[in-house]
Amino acid sequence: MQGLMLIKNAGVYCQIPSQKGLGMVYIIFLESAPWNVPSIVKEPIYRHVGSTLLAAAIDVSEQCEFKGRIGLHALPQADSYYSNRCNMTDLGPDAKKSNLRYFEMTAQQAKQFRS
Amino acid sequence: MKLKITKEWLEKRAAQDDKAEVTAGGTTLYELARDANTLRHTPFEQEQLASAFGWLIRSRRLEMRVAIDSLARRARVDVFEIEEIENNVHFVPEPRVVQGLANVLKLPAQKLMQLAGLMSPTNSSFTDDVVLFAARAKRVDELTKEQHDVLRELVKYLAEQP
Repeated sequence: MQGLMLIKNAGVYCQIPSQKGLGMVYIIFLESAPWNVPSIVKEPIYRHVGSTLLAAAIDVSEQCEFKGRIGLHALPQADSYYSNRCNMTDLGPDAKKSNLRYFEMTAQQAKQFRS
Repeated sequence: MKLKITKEWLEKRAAQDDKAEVTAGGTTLYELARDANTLRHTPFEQEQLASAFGWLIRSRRLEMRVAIDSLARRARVDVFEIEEIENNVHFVPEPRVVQGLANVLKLPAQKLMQLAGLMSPTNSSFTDDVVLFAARAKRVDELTKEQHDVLRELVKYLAEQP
């Protein structure tokens, strides 16, 4: 196993005003194996495991007819990745989830990410 | 499920992402495992497993004549955590705590993890067997012969589990 992702594709809805209430895929958990994380090992066995899993979540979202919409609570070290590299919308800290920042990806943002 | 991830896309992302760390989740892997294991047992079974776990730690500590603060220091855990394990069936310790206690008390760590609800049992009858032990275990300030026998049997049982 090189990484792990757990997603939920039922009963979760978007929070961004432009797509509020629409269905989406929520990423409950996403993590690369420690031997694939550059901050842990100098030479990861596989790179970009996380990005690949994120793309897989978008694919699932599309297949569920959610048009690529996904949401997740980012761990602090990944905030900038979701914000800057994925261009996801940052809805700020969520007190219900240990103040982790909640990010959501619109259909348009998903299209850009997968292009 | 059909994924649309192509080699070209991966190469493009690889160039953009550099050493980015991609991780998400308002929960840790250990919490996920714990929650998943929780679903495998009824509330009664969970309490019995936790009760047996707490009793085992306390009895083994008494048998080895180790005070709580000494055990905490040697296992590198908080006194509070040991007190909770011994007295509160709803307390779920972290894996490092269980590992530390297992090392000092010379008990099989993986079996303790199962008792603590942090790992799923490898033996289908494990929970039922432990419930029977829990029924015979009584909290005492000093180990009686009867309780010592239960302790010996439980330790032997755990050691023999696959």
